[in-house]
Amino acid sequence: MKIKSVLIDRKSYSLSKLIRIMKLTSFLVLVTLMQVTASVYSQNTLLSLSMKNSTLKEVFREIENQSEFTFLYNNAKIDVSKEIDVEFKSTKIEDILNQVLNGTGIAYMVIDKQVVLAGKDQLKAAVEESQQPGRKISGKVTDPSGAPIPGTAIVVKGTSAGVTTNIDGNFSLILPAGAKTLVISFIGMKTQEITIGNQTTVDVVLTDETIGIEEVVAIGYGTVKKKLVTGATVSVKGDDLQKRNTTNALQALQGQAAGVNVTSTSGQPGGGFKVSIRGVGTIGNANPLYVVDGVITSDISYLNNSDIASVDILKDAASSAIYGINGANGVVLIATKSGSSVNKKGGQISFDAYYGVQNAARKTDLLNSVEYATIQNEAALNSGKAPLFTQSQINALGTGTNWINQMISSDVPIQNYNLAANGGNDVSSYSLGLSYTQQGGIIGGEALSNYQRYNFRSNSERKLYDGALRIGEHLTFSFIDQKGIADGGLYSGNPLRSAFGTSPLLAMYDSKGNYLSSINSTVYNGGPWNNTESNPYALMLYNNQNETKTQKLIGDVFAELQPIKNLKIKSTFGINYSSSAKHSYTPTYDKLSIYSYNLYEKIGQDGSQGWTWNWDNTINYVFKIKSHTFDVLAGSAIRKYQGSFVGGNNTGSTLFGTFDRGYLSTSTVTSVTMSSPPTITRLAGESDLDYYKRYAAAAQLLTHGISLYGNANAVYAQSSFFGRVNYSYKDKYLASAIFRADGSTMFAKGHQWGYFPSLSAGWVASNESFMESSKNWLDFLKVRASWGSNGNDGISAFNYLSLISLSNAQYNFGSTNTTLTQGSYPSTIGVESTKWETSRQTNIGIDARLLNNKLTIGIDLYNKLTKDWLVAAPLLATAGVSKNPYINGGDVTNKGIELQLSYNNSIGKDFTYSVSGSYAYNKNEVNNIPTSDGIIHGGANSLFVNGPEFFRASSGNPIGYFWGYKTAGIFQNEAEVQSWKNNSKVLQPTAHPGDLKYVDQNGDGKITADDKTNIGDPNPHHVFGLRLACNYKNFDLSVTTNGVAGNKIVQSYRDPGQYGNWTSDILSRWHGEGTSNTMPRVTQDGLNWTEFSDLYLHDGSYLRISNVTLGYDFAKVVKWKNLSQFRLYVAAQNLITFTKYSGMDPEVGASAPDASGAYNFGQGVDTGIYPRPRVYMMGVTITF
Amino acid sequence: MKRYRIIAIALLAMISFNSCEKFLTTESTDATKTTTTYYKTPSDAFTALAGCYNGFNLIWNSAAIPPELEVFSDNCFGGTGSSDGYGWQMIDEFNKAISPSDVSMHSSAWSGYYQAIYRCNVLLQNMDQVTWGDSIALKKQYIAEAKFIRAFCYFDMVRLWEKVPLLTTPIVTNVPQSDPALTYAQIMSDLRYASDSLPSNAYTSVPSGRVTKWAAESLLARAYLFYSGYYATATIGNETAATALAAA
Repeated sequence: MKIKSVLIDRKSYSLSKLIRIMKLTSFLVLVTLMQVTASVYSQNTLLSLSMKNSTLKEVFREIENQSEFTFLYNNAKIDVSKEIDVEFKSTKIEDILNQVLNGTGIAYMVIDKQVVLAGKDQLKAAVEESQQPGRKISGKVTDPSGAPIPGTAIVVKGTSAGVTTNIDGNFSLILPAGAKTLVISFIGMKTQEITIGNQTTVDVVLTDETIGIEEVVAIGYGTVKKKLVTGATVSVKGDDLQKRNTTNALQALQGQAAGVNVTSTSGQPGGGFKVSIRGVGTIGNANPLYVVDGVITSDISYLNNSDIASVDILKDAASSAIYGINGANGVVLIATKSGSSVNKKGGQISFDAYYGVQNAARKTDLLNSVEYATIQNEAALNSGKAPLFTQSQINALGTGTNWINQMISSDVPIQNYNLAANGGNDVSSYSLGLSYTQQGGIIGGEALSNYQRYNFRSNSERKLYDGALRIGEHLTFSFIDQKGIADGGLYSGNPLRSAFGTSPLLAMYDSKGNYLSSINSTVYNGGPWNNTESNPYALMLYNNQNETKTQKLIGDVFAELQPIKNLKIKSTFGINYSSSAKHSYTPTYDKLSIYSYNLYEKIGQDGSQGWTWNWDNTINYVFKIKSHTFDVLAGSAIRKYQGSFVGGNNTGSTLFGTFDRGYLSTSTVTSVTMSSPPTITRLAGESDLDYYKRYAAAAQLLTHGISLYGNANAVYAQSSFFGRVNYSYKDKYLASAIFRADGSTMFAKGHQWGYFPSLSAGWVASNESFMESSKNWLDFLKVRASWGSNGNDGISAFNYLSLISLSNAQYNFGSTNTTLTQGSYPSTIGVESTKWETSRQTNIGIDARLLNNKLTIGIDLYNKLTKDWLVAAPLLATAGVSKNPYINGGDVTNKGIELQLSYNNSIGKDFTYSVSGSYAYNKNEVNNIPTSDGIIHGGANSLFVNGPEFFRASSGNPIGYFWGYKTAGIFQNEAEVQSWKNNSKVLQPTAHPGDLKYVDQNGDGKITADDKTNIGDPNPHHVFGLRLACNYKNFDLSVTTNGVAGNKIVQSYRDPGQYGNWTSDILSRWHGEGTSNTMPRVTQDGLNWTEFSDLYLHDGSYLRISNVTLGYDFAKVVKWKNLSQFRLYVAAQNLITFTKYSGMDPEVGASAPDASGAYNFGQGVDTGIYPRPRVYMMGVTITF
Repeated sequence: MKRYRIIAIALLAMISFNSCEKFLTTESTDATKTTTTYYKTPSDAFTALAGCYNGFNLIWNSAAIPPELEVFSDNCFGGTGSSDGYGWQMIDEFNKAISPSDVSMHSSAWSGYYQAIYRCNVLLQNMDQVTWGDSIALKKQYIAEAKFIRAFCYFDMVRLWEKVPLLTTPIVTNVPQSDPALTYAQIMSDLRYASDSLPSNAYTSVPSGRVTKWAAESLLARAYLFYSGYYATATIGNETAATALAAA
């Protein structure tokens, strides 16, 4: 509880001192209580004074020295600096005062040994008031935990009569006649009014001011009071994120903020997240801008949740316009902890730790050997062949190998330890944090998939020259050590996909305990069933030995000068430095199948470093003209990135043969010298120079097996100017205007600068006089509207130049096929006129607080148009380049509504609870695409090997929509095949009963690619989250949920027509008339699966109970003086997921590349994603 | 007033910090060359020529003409592995119904050929940018080799697709299909230049894979035979049977 002692100095409570500080009238009431009037002492005491040219103050001091009198007066109101001469001998105090105070307008009253001075009128009124007889009332003021609150003011409403509570929280006062209500108030707590009936005692419990009317939110280069914000922003407290106990702060953010959709791209530890604010606005990079303490970064996974003080998300264009060319996808502002938020004297030390075990929440159900053999038989029969297994063979198979169980480890640990110290005083504050996080992966276990992060953070601030200069710094250093397995996609060696594709007939081990090679399997007729399949666990082990160590240093140093009041000049220098080193090793291994073996060890190393520095300067001036308040900001910022990378691979034998010693220098061959070339015969008439040139060209040899690469990354620089004016009239009428100009090196000269204005306005209706009547239920109502524009410059560098490339351009001259000559070719065609993408957004919103600030509501409606998309528009093949340049064109609209609610209340003294929820609806529609066919095609070969295009972007449909055939059930018999007609033409004449019925969408009587249409949307339409938290005495319980609805997922675990395994869904396939109308028959060529149709689509809606935490705070039981919190808790993450989706995890953030390979806008594609684990953990939080 | 002076000075200081034009220019620090800064020395030209040869790797990457010609004829059947598609069977039997999902089997070959041709066109366009100095003889040789590669590509394309857009300089916009007579005329003139300009060396005397005069001569004869046979015309451009078929 914050105890700000304004009225009382706690050090001493002697009556005289108490009286000196209290209000005059309070004193008089107190005195009246004591029923003391003029007494004997003043009559009998005689004083002698002789002073010349002394102030009244000095005279009074002398009287105090000579006697036991003490003087009481209000220094501010009584002028005691008048100079007089005094000459008294043995005079009574009254006589002295009469003479001395003559003509000063000061009256006096002597009460026992106190002499009270006041203005004549004031004294008269006070005396009158104090002489009225009244009833005595007393009581105690405490906080909800029972601790007393000294210094609380108890005032009789409508009068100036009142007292304050003493150190035990007790008070006592005489009520004046007609007193009806007492007003009890204390800073930081809710004021209470108590009607006085006939009682003589009244006990009051004051509660904290929970809703932050004075709360501030960050708005980019500054902060503003939450009640005055005119844009659409949402704040999340860092403590809320920390309580979720996630490794990555973005995961903790899921479901907390309306309009912010966070999807993990992989459940692997250290896996990334895709964040889209108000829908996907582009086919390029749709991630928002992250700003941590003023430093722009693209990745916040280096932060430990305990380092974060608050997260403010700027959703509409008017708020993010201050970030100009980078703000089109929204801005996430993160502030790390500072010491100034801690009020406790002497600082606060906290320790937080948790340890948990992770398991797979749901495992895909694959077929066992018997089921697999049965389906394979059926496929053979349906393809006109003899069955592959006899019944006795099937009976002898047993259950086979469950590859999913082999790949997934159980009880994999996750742990986090954090030690922090925060504190400060009026002139300086500090915040230090040290933390360690470790999370193992459930696929592959800790040895192959692991994430460790060490963080050190130091923030400090100091005020100098009486607050005129404030300097400070934020610095976070992260060291991340990560091991990972290949993840997602078809060709990366995705271990989970390999598990789906391996038949259960392959045993795990051979008789000697080594991984069984499929060539040596004897399960099928004494030999292998399929000698092309390999043990996926062994493959995962051999091909994923790697480790990456990354160091990041992100921070800033700033100085803020305040030469005159309300004028702040601030300069910030920030850096974002990152370097990483990776090494990998592949051992040799014997044949696991006829294709899968490795003859040569391989070592690879990769290193990179790069840093961005930024320098921001701002001037901020707040001034008032009558009731109009202006907050003006002007500033400029520059930013520059440079970096480089280097890497090498060495294939061949190594000295040690292990991953731990797997570095380039441990290969047995580490250097290659130019060897002598083959004989170069001199040509007839060839000059010396020409001959030597030919000789030299042939002498440049590259040894097979070593490759080197390295380059400097393109330098990126940005220069900006911005200005903002925030206006408010009596906190009732609000307006804000922002203008920003940005220049970026991504674009050619003459197209570098973009201009981004925005306007917003608000009206606090609840402050209007006509709303007075509703004040008892409507505490706060604000209506706001905004319009603004932002930009996006996310393309690859040097788009405006025609670049020469040297990669993959070698040619084989000569008679040995190991000699390669380096070639070059023009790889891009420069486009000068490319400029930034523009996003324009209109937003209307309402913020309200009702029921005594218990219920908070926020509603927003928005319309976001992103124009001038940066599209790698496919050029005609005749243009001759494979890499398409970026041009502008195309636009997409996102429209939606967001709702954010929270409700806090308490029942009785001990039980408080809060409910908060967020909901957002978004509709995404592409309007226009600048390519010749108006379509951006998705890539082929990403659904399955040699698979067709299955997603695209085109006008009138959402981004990345699934493009395929609509089906209308299954042919149950031959008659149905023949009667499936349009325009009296049989649509699928070669179909058999059990095959899918395709819909003739364009009505031309044929089933062709023209019948493919929009069959599903991977973008969720509804994103929601709900959080319940309650406290009962020392217990606390919270439940957090999040979910999406309205999206579809494509599940493709299997290449059609192969010998791979199926999920148990296939058991419901059609195998006779009437057996199924949804799952077609199986055939050896997988005909029903080679075309992309809605057979592949699944409903991706889910509701996940992402966190349940139960804690108990022992500090309140132990009651040790310095311990303010000792909380033990248990928590479960990803406890239950309610979904219809049959895969391991419905949160499919993985994406597929488009046809040109330039973008990854194909979303919702599950080809074997790494699932999110279920975690059970326990932890402790200790705060001193 | 003192207040506004302070503000004005601070504003001025801020603006001067990032008004440098040079700050937003980064061309000097990049690590790649551009078409305007490349093609300066003869070794640049040779490396670019190797890039043109590398174009052969592009055109033989997927549905490549050598095996296709075998499959189209009755020399071979067309087929691949048990898990692969049925595209080769489809072209073997000239029956699209065998592999209905193969809608664009030659698309990567189509873009591969034009990429190779583009490389040759850009090199030919920039030959004059190079400072040849003493190696001026190399200029003619490299032009000849690039023209050969271009002609080779067009010869493949005109036999596969007959009416193909003919580009001899880099063009981004659409070029309509050209009459095969024009394409063959271009092929002939390129090959004639190559055979006239390349030194008369035996193929064993140059690194294997480099174009020789005799390779140009033989390809010219072969192209002539195909065209005059298929289109029943004796003259293509400047070539007649006598000039095309004789060893010069």
